[in-house]
Amino acid sequence: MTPAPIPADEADRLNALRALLLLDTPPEERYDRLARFAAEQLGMPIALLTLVDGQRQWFKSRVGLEATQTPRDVSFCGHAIMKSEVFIVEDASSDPRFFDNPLVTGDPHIRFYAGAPLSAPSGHHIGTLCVIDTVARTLGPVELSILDALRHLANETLAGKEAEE
Amino acid sequence: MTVQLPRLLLIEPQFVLRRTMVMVARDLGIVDFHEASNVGRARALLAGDAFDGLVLDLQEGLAAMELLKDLRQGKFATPQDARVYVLAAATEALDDRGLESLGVVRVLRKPVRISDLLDAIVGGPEKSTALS
Repeated sequence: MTPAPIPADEADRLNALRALLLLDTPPEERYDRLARFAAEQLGMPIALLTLVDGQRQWFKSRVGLEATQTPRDVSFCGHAIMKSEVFIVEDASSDPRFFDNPLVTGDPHIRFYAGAPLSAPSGHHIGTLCVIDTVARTLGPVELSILDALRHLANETLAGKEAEE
Repeated sequence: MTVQLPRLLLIEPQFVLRRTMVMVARDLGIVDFHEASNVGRARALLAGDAFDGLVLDLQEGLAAMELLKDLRQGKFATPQDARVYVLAAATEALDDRGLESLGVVRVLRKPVRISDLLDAIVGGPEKSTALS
């Protein structure tokens, strides 16, 4: 297993994350609806809005998963925040970075993962909007575009810019 | 050469569905959606602008049907024979004959997949047997 890497701007990234005052807060509909919509549109059993903290990833919103957090080193989202584009693992069981990851070999038995990195207003990647399946699969152009659009809405919400009308 | 995308007015109260539809259609270069969150706002847009078609959520019931009737009577800048796609809740009882007589191309039941809506629009203006 390849542990989730630590970005070069980690200290500033954590400051940006913590300035949002979202960690360990109750569920909020304005975030939950994005995770629900992602699961519904992409036909995924699991969708999460994750925040990657120093030693853990914590779930601000979760569909299809009981856990509220996992260690950062085993997290897929810890890899996803290293990139600007959507990070996709089509079959984790055959991916050398993930095949022996405990989230693959045990619950929730991840096979497919797609995570769109979320940005704080400062631009730092503080988490992801991600979808997960227990079977290997791919995403088509419409599905990728939907995930990217939802990432955009999540970023607006993080920045307090979402408009209802 | 710039490809002219069809200009459709999307009348949809659900924020996430509406915004995502607009962004995906723009990103993929399929439709130039303009958006309204309710029938009242849609009427204001239709009064001053011509669209190639409408995607109309029936959540507002009679108000939505009145808008459709007014469109067919030529009361807006949009051509009265413009394509209309209807979105309706899965449990909503619909007047299929009434919708057909008002020239609805297709009814899509919610929760609607964005890919299904875009497929319906790209599929063209011919009448669909999916009106049900």
